[in-house]
Amino acid sequence: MVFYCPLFSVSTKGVMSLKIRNIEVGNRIGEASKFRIYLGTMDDQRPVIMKVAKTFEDGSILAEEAGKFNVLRAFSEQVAEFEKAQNGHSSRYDQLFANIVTSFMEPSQGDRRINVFETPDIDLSKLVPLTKLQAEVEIDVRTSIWIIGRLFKFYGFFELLAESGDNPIVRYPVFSPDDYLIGPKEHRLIYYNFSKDIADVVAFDFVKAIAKFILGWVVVGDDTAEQEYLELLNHFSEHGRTSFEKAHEDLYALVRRHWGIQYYPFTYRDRDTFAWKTIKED
Amino acid sequence: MGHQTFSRDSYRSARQSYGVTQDTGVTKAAEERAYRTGQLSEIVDPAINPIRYSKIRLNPHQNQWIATLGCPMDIEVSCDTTGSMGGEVDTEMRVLPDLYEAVSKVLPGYDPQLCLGIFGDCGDRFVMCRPQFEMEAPKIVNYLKEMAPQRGGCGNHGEDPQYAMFARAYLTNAYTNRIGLKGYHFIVTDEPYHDHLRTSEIERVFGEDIFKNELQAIKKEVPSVKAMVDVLKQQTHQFVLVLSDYYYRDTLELWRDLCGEKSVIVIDSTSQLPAVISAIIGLTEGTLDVTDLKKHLGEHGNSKLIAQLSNTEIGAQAALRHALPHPVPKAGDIFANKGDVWPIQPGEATDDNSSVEATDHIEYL
Repeated sequence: MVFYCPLFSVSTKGVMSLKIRNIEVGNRIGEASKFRIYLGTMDDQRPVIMKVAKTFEDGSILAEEAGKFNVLRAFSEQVAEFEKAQNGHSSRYDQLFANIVTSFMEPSQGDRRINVFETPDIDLSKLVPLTKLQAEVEIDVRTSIWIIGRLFKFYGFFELLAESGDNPIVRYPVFSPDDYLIGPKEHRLIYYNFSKDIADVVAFDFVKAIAKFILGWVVVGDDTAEQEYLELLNHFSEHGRTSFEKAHEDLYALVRRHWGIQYYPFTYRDRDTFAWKTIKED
Repeated sequence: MGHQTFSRDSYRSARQSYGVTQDTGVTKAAEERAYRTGQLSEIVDPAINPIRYSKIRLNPHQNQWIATLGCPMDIEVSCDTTGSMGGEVDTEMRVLPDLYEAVSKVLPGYDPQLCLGIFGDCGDRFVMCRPQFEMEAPKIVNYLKEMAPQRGGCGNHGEDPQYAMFARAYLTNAYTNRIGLKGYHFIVTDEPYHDHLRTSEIERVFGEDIFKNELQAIKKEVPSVKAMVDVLKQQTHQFVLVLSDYYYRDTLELWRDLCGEKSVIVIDSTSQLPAVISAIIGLTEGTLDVTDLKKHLGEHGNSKLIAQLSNTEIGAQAALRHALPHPVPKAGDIFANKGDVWPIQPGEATDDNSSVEATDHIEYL
């Protein structure tokens, strides 16, 4: 479990006292058993997330994580090149996970390892930990759809990786909402914590876990479309799917039937209220 | 033991003086001699003084000993020279300066020592060549030209690199292991291994008295290949670099089963060896940031290779280094006696109570 402070309300300015390499270390925003998470600002003013191992020994988990993120980046570039050559279009898998900027052992910190991440094409200040958002608000059906769609797409990327054969096998990360940041306005879901166990299990179990997470968050209305979506979620949670591609297909078949593929603002309500609010993209 | 290291000038000069002026046929004379005499050159024959040493270099200094360079880092590469890989010593000779410079860059403060050997098949007349660990161009150029690749292989679903691995596991005395670090061991091949170590072959390769002398401890209870690899992994960060046009379909699977998937890297060409070997060492030592892999590999890199290298045990040597009782010895450290594992530590009594820097001109007493 990772414990967070809200990203939204944290400033990286004003309280800085430590500089490591070319990064001003800002506020601590989270903590797990083996590392702490800080905001930081690089010399060129880019905001970053820093994970700092608590001890030298704890650094091994961050070293492994850095390698995995590098695998994801290399593979996403490979896929993008292939897609562009095929049809001039890219699925932009790189937008689904944080970009690792650097990973190093810091002598001034007892050689503890530090992983530094940035979020591609979106300002860190627009992101919030998924678990924090889920704790504070409920979401409507159509908002939940793009979130579950992003999760299926992300895990589908691992399917591609596994199928590619000649890449090292990066097994699926265990699904945990702790590991994602969400940009409600821009419809972004960014995976940034690969330090947990990996699982050598099939898509089936993950589809179930993801569906259960969404079921615990979404408010489903009485109309036919939403009830049909509820049935699909229940089916996902009970029976899973053989692949994320299949789960994604089933989900979007329903979306096309009832709503069509189009932008829909992030629609939520605070957990103790009835009034729905929206956050729209500019 | 001196303080000379590899340089491009000394490499060029050594090639000139040894008559290695062409990029191909580097081993032609040695091959012909071995064929004629039935003997390998003694500087690469694994049966002549079978133990290979990687030592810290010390010179006399005021009744004590001074480390002229840093901690030695033993790097052994054993390359398949069967069939289509028969000319790999030519490649090793050609890329040698790149290899030495690349590993030096990721081993700051260390004294890289290279043992670049070759292997074939037990069906060949000579199974392997294994030189000493060396760090100076003339010695490395000399031993490379003395190799006798057999270029055979027998087409029997694999070769016999397991004897080269056995040699590093049981017939090596490395300073890294004495202080608690690991060296590096690389097999370069396009075929699987044969899953057996035979007493008769060990005697043939390393000398008929090997079990009476150097291998007295294991006598004739020869380990399985798997058990031998376990010992090898206790002493080295061990890798197998498999050419992407590998010969048998199960080549990768067999190597991964034996050594673990993190230890098996597929490469496209042996011209990538300097970049790949130095990347592996840099990642393992913690001196190369995994996010800089693309830049490090340069023209030799591609996303598949980056992905594989990212999956190695990053920082594994750093973890060992952190657990040492003392800092890794560096140039200028003083040893009370030749053969001591550790230099005199700060606060320990010394004759002159000072730490001195190595110089280029050390006078022998």
